[in-house]
Amino acid sequence: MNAFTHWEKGPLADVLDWLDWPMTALHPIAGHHFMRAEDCVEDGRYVLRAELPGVDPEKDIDVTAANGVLTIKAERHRDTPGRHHSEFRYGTFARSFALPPDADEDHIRAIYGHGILEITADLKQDAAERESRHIPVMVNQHIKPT
Amino acid sequence: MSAQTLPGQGPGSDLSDWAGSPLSTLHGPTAVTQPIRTEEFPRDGRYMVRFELPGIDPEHGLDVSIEAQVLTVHAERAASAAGRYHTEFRYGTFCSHMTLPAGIDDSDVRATYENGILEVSVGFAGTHPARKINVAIAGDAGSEG
Repeated sequence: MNAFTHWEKGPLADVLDWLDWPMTALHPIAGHHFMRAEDCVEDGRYVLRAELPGVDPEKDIDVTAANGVLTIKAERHRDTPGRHHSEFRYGTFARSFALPPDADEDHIRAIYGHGILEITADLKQDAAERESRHIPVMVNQHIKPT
Repeated sequence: MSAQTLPGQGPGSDLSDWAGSPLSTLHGPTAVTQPIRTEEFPRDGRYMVRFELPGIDPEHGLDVSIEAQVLTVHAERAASAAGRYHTEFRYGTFCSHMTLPAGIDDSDVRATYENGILEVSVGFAGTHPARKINVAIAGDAGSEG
């Protein structure tokens, strides 16, 4: 619980941390700061945006995609001298997202501006047109309902 | 639920939206404004205040003003994309009022917006040398007269 040991942030900052992510227990990558995100489809592409203010996009952002999971990691370095009042969160930010099944992992772009990281993935046409397949339900005669 | 929705969707984001709103009464004059995370520190003889404002258009959505010692930041974040699956972002009006330390020069204020952080740098009005204050001794007024 790093957020609660940063005494210089003051009690209000702790409340802000808590309010930002009350579901910390559900966080997929424990011990890291959470980032807010939104997603949509724009011009036939899947677009995911994450809030990462105050990071250096050239050095401190790492985006990976594998097996339908997109992971964003970022480091935010404290550059302020000594003790002071801060409600900012420093350290590692990380979050993983499930990509849509038709997203093309080989054609993912990431662009950073104004504190927002925008990930764009092409959507494969053939996958989008694929129809859902019905799976027949077999009846098991040997197992009796409990 | 489509597979394209974010894992964080659902009650979590609603709860955080709801939980964030009562706090705004502590920060702004109206209930509709949302709080801004800040940090402040002195550096190189200036007073620095930073505001976390990702996704703001600095030319149209940002207003910084100073009156006496109170620094006010107003930011507007316009919701853009239609057909969004899901958002945890906060859109709308953000506001922060901050009382700066005594001795600042409100005519020497610089503001820059970079990587989603608004940084306001305020100078101090000259260097005031320590001023000697004479201590009057109560009940001793008659000794000189």
